[in-house]
Amino acid sequence: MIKYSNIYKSFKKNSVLENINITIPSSEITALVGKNGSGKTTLMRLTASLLSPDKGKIDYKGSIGILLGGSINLYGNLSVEENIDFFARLHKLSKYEFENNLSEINKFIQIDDFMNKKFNQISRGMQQKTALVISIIHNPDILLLDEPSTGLDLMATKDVFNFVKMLKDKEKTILISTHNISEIADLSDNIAILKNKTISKIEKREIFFENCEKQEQLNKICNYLEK
Amino acid sequence: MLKTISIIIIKELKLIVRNRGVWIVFLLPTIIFPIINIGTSYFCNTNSIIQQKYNISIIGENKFYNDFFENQNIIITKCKDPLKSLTNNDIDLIINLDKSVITYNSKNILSLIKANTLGERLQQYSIQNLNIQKNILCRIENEKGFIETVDISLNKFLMPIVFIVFVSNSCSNYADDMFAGEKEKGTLEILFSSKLSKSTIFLGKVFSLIIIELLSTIISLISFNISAMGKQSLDINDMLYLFLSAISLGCISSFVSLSISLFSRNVRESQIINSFVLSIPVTLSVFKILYNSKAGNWIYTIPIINSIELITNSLSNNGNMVAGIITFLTNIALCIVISFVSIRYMKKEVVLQT
Repeated sequence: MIKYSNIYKSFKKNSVLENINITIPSSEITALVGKNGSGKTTLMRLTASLLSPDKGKIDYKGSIGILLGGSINLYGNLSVEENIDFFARLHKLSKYEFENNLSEINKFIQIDDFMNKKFNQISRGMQQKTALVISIIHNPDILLLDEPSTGLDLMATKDVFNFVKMLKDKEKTILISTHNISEIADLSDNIAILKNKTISKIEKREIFFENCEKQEQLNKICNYLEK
Repeated sequence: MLKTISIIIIKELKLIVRNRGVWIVFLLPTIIFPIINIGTSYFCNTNSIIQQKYNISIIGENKFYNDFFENQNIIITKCKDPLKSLTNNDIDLIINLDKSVITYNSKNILSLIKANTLGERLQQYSIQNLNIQKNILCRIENEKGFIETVDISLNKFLMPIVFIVFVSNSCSNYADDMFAGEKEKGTLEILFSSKLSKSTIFLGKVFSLIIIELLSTIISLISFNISAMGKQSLDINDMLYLFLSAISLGCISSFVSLSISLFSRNVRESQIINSFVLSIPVTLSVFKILYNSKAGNWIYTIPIINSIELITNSLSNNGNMVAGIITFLTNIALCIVISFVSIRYMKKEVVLQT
């Protein structure tokens, strides 16, 4: 569970988030939806303590893993394995835990093929997979995914979907910031719409898309954001 | 905490070593020192200068040197106003036997070179005739005073500047990448998201810079001594003083350049500020050599200036242990202050702003 109480955040007098009072349910996948520049990434960064709120507080229990959006960049001159190993060591994982977690992840996200390649020599999709592996290598209780399927091909997107579902089965709390209708409609349990600098409510996916045909789901979200 | 620092150090060292630029930092001293040595030897110590006539004026009297002046290719000119004659280039040098100093015309490079050459020959003459062993050369030179005013040799004139350039600039490129570069790429956010303390991240990065600085300083020292080929090479004590002053100056430049990188918005900004700040020791060293003022031991309590003073003195075989220890401790104390201030103001929000 992540509880946001009265969160305000602004950058140089430009208010981005105001009065956010919501609770992200435990062991479920919540999709955070909003227009570009609505403050989704800021909310993710606040949750991961990369930013501090101007006002309010965020409560959660357990460890956090975060996959940041935008262009994925790790250490280009290190191999994929060295990158993952570095962050695993920082999370104080033993060699056994590291190998165990990695083999578990590898069942869903195929990274074995490019483990020995340098990070700056692999494709955008492979880089995205590596960043995802780094965000979950320490087996966090809460996972924040900022546009996780950006740059991935269809097969890789499917792998990521299956992996996120598997994490949910392991009772992880997952918050996904996304523009992808499949991630919203097929993957998530809840939908939180960030609009006018705040999240008014979180709705169950079934309730949000009630009486809504598959091809109308995107329109429904767009209409909601336009209102 | 130490284990986490060591993880960051290993990662940073891997990144630095895999960057081809680092080999330039290591190889440059091995190329530059021999080039400077050969070049200055050619210009300052050619046979043509030794064989030239020396037109000098002598002030005072010391019978010990009579033979020296009679047997050499030296013309002694009697002048009413030796300084005026020197200014007009009527004579090459004034030798004051009472004060044991040689005065030269700084606007006349030949006067400068002749002063150097004659100074060295006078020292050799003193040593040979007094039957003094070579290992107390420095003390005799200081007593006689010749080396203090005329030495434009490789060690005293050009090398301190080259040494200070190497020491203070060898790590700035890597420092730029460590915070400002990671900020640009976004990896710093991932690092911060792994709940590391600010001090762990800062110390991990700064220690990796110090390791590179240490290697670079050792290579510079060895290259210098080998390239001197025994002519002006340093004894073990002066090597130690030079090492203490150089490494402590290197530590300061590592801490300063990393702090600048930490608070810069991008690599470009960090590079601009660092190149300006790191040029300060080099500028100071030029002033120190041009205005060769004598200062007491108190000068070793002023960070940066103390290193410049000690590097200059050590390269002239004039270093001393007290100065070495004071310099090292003072500079390390400054490093601790810089790291304390940087960590204190290293707020994630400020650091992650681009």
